[in-house]
Amino acid sequence: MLNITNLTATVDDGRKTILDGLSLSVPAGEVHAIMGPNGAGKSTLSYVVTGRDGYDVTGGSVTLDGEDLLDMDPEERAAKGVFLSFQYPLEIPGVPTLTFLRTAMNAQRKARGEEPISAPDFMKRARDVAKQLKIAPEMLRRPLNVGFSGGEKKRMEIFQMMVLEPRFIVMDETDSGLDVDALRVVADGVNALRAPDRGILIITHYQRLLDYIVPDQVHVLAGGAIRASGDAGFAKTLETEGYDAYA
Amino acid sequence: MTPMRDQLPHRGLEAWKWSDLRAEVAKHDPAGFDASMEATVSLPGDVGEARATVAEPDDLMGRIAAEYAADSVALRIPDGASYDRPLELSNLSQGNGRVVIEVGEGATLDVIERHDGESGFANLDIRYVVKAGGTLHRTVLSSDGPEMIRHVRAHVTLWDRAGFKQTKLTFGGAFSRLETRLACMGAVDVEMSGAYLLDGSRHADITHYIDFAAPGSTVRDAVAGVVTDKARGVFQGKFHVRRPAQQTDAEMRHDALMLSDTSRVNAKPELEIYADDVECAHGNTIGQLDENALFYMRQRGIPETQARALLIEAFVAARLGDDEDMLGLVRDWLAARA
Repeated sequence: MLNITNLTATVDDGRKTILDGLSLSVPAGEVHAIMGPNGAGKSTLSYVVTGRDGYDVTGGSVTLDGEDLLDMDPEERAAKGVFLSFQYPLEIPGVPTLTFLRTAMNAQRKARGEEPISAPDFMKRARDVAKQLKIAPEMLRRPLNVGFSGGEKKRMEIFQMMVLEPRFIVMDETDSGLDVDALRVVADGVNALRAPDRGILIITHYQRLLDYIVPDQVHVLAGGAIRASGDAGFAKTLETEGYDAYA
Repeated sequence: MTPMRDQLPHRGLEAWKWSDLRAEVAKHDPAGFDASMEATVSLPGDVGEARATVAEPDDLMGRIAAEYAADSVALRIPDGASYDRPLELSNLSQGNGRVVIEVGEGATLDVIERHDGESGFANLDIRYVVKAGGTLHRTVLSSDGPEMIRHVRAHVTLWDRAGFKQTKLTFGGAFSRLETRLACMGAVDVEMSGAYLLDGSRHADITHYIDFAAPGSTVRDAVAGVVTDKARGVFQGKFHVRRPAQQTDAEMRHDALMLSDTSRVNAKPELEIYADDVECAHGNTIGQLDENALFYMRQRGIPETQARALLIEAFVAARLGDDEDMLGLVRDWLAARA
C-alpha cells in the first residue's frame, strides 16, 4: 500500500538533512508504529508524505498503491485518501467545523469525479461519528478548533478522520494531550477503522497509545532512517530500554 | 485648474497623508468635479421634510459639495416612525451632493447607500441627526470601478439614548475615502463595523472620528481589510473623549490581511481622553494568511485557492454579520480572483 524507498529530505536549502535514506512499507490492512527520540525526523516524515511546503525531497520515492505521491499537491494526496492527524491541529477561525468538513469531503469527491454528498447524508454521518466519539453536537457548529483544548483538538482530528474514511492514515503524536478516558475513546475509533483495504501509520514518542491500538509492526526511526523493526512487544522493550542503542 | 481644485486636501495634511485626493484629481481629471449629483432616493414610506436647513459646512470637502451641489436632499423621519424597508440612496456616482436626514424621537430608520460608479468624481456630504431614543442603521455598499474617485463624509449627531449601527463594505477605487464623524451628545449605543477588499492599484480609506460629549456611551468599532496586488488600504480611527463624557465604554479595532508584497496598509488608531472614568481600548493587527492553516485545509482535500477564499471570507465575514448581500459581494470578489 504505502511504500517509502530510500527517502532523503532536507531543509534550509539542503543545509540540514532530516530524512536520510528512509525505507518503509505498510501493506493494506496493517497498522505500523514509528517510535523514536525527539528530532529523529518523525514529524518530517508525516509532512513529506502529505506534501507540506518547506521540505526538499532530494532522493527516493513515496508511493500509494504504486502512485507517486511526491508529485502531487497536498489536496491531491488527500483526495487519493491520505489523511494526517496533526500533532498540533490548526485553528480555523470563522469556519464552522461541519462546514469545513463538508467542504473538504466534497472537494475530495469532486477530485475523484464523484457526486457531492447530500446535506442530510452528511449530517447523519457526522452525528453518528460525533456520538461515537462523545463529541457534543454544539462543538461541531463552532469554528474548527478555535478555543478547543488540546484534547478536544485531538478528538476533532479523529472525528474528521472517521467521517472522511481515508484509505491511508498517518497519526502524528495523537496521544499527547489526551487523558486516559479520551485515549480509550480515540483508540476505539481508530480500531474501528482497521480494515483490509486501509493502512495506518502511528507516529509516537511514547508506547502508551500502542496499549490501546496494537500495531502489527513497530519501527525505530533515528537519525532520519529506520534502524530496527519488531512486533508489538518491541514497543515495550523500547519504552524500558530507550533509543540510545539506535542513535 | 479651478480654484476649488487647488483647495483639495493633500498628503501634506495629517488627516490626509495616506489619501492624497488633490494628487488623484490632478492625475485623473475626473468628470463631475464641478457638477451636481443627481441622487436617487427611494423612500421607505411617508417621510417629512427636514426642518433644519443644511448647516454651513466647516470642512473643505463640505464646502466643495456646497459650492457645486444644486440643491440638497432634506428628509425628516417623523417621531416614532418605523418602516419595513430601508431608505435607499443610489445614483451617487458623479458630482457633488448634500443630504440631510433627521430621525425623529423614538423613530427607527434603515438606510442603504449604494456606490456603483464606473469612473469620475463623487463627493457626498451627508448629515444624519438621530433624536432622543431614535435608531439609525446605516449600510454603505461601495462597489465602484477602478477609475472612480469618491469621497463621502457622514456627520452623525446622536442625541440621548440614540442607537447607531453602521456597516461599510468597500472595494475601493482609484481613490475612495468613506469617513464617518460621530458626535455623541448623550448616552448612546453605537456599533460600527466595516470591511475593505482591494486589488489592482485600488485605494480605500476608512476614517472614523468619534466625539464623546456626554456621559455613558458605548461604542464598538471594528474594521477588517484585505489588500493584494498594489492596492492600499487606510484606516484612521479616533476616540475623542471630552471631560464630561465619563463612563464612556469604547473599543476600536482594525485587522488587515496583506496578500502581496506590493500591497500597503496604513493604520492609525488614536485615543484622546480628557475624562478620567472611562474604558477605552484600541487594537490593530496587520498580517498574512496563516500558511499552516492553509496546509491543514489542503491536507483535508480543500484546493489551495478555495482554502484561501474560505479563510479570507471568514476574516471579513466577522465584520459583516449575516448580511447576505454583502457576503455575496465578498464571494464574487474572491471568485473573480480565483
